[in-house]
Amino acid sequence: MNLNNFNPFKEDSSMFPFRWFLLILALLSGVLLYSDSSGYRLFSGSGQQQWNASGQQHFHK
Amino acid sequence: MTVIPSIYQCPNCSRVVNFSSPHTTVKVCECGTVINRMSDGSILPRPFRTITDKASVIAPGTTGQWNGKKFTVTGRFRIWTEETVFSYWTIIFQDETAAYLAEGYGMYAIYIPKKSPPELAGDNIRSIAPGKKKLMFGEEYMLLRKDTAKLWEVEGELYIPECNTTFLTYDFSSPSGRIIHIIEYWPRIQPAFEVHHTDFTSLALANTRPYENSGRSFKCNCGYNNHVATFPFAQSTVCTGCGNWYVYKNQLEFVKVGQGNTMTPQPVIKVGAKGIIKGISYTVTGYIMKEERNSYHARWTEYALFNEKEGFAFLSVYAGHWIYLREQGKTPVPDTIGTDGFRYDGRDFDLYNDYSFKVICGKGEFPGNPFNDGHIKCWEFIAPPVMWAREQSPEEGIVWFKGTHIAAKDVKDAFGDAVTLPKQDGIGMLKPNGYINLKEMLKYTLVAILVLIVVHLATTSGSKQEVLIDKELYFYDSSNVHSAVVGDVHLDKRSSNVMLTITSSVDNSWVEVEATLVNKKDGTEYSVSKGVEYYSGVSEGERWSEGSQDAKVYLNSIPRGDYTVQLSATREQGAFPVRSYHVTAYYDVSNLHNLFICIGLLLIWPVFKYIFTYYSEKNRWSNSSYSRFNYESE
Repeated sequence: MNLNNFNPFKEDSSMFPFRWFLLILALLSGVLLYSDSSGYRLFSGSGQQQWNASGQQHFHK
Repeated sequence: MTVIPSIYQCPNCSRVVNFSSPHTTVKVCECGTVINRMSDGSILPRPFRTITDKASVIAPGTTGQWNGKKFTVTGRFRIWTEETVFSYWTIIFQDETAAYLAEGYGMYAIYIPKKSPPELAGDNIRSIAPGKKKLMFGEEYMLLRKDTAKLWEVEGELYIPECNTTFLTYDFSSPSGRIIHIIEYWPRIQPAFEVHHTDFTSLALANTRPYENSGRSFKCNCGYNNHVATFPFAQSTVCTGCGNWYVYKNQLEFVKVGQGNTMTPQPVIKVGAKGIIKGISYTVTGYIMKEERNSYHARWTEYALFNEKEGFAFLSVYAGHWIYLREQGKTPVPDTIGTDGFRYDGRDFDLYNDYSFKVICGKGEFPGNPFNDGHIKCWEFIAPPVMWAREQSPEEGIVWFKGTHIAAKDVKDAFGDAVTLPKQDGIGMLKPNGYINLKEMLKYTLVAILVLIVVHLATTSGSKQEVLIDKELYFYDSSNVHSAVVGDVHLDKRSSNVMLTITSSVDNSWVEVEATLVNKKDGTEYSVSKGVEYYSGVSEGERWSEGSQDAKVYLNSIPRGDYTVQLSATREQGAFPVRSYHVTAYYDVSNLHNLFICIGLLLIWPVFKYIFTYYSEKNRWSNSSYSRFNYESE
């Protein structure tokens, strides 16, 4: 079995022409996984605002 | 039961001759006598030819491995066909089984003995022509080659049954990739072998010998003394003195053939130059210019490359675009010879060109006989940057070459000053140029969308969709603004969303609601506002409406904690202001928004790739008579 065939970044792999597409897929899968599980809404234009009562936090002695 | 002895005395020189394996039948004594061990255990001196010019790094005593099994080479017989030589090395595996290691022109294969197919019994096998199919072992096999071994010679200790001075060999291949080799040693004696192609590196050969080959010299009619360094592999050459073409005939001598060079050869790589291509150190042994025998008369040039272990390869150049080709044993087997494409090794190959050719001029030496032009028909199937080229001739049957695009820069890097790169024109037949098979792209895109859907479903399948608030809230008659703290909620996920649905019976008016979650511990506020508006009426006799009496809005990425929910609403002041609004808040809600955004982003690449590939391929195929693109409108 030629393992290179399963590595899309090897030139003799049949997946080589799709290497960037597979990379994009991997990234988007990660983004989707993160956003779906954290309740983040991609490119959301709902105008949600956030106010922190204590303002920007600082460390001090 | 006859016990076959292993130690004998040479009948010629009286030396002890030891047969190391019970499988071997012939051994060459140190004195040069060829001893044939018969089936009854007796021996006979035989007048078999011995190999004098070894021309191989493999030798008796060489060890190697295949399929996890170690083997030792004991000896070989080498056959001479019309234009080639091929060695059958006898190998003995560590489990004492025997097989052949076939070697020639850089191709290596293990031949495992197999029961002869009954379908080929008798004279049936001789009636099959190359390219025709035969059902064997429950599968259809195509006969690729039928070669006549016009002469054979031996070295070391080997297995060869009692056989004729000449015999036939057959190569069958099935679409599933099985290959059968049959040697008809004697009429109706047809042992079959399962062929497993491998390569020099995989065999991990040890105890090899230095490559030694004195080649062969001959004197041309012009008086020039030519030397063919890679003989017997190269059996054709062009006289350096006068450009006449010579081919080695009848295993005897170089004979003048054809018309000779019709123009002065002008190779862009010097014959004799050395360079490393694909990690293999090659010497350029020959240059040849060919011309298609059709109305296009397209001309291209080929360079024969030789390496002692990897055999021959070719560099073909047309319009400045280079292709690196090697003959292959494991090859595609299309359904029919006249196919216009096939799928192999995960790629779709399409017929780009078919032609026969004639030789215009050449220089140096070549494997086989390239001067028997006109007999050979070629088909080129491409899936850039790879192609399979099939050559078929009535005499030799079918030969497949695998070609890959090689960048001009790589050729320059390999041969340095010995090469002058020709100017490039157009898109080369195999130039990658971002090529993508459009059917493959559709398949990949669909699978990718499916992957995103699966990721989405897997992530959101556990969504709680819990109702936090479900309240009807009323405006005071005296005010158009209403504020209320509607309750405390506990959000238990590390981070999630809250969906608010706002419903109000607005009619030609509006209500705007601002929802705020206040973290009871640190006071952090998350707020969002959303309007609900609905207008309707009659205009020019037609009823119209716009807006809606309900709306949805999300508070996103709200961290775990206890929150107070505050609502603040403003209504339109009018004759009939709305009296109330209803708010329902759901926690941890799944929605398709993120999935659709990701699918949309995913599709950007295929869409741009499709547009680019379409025009690039149209350009590439403009030189092919098998193009599926329409060029008439241009």
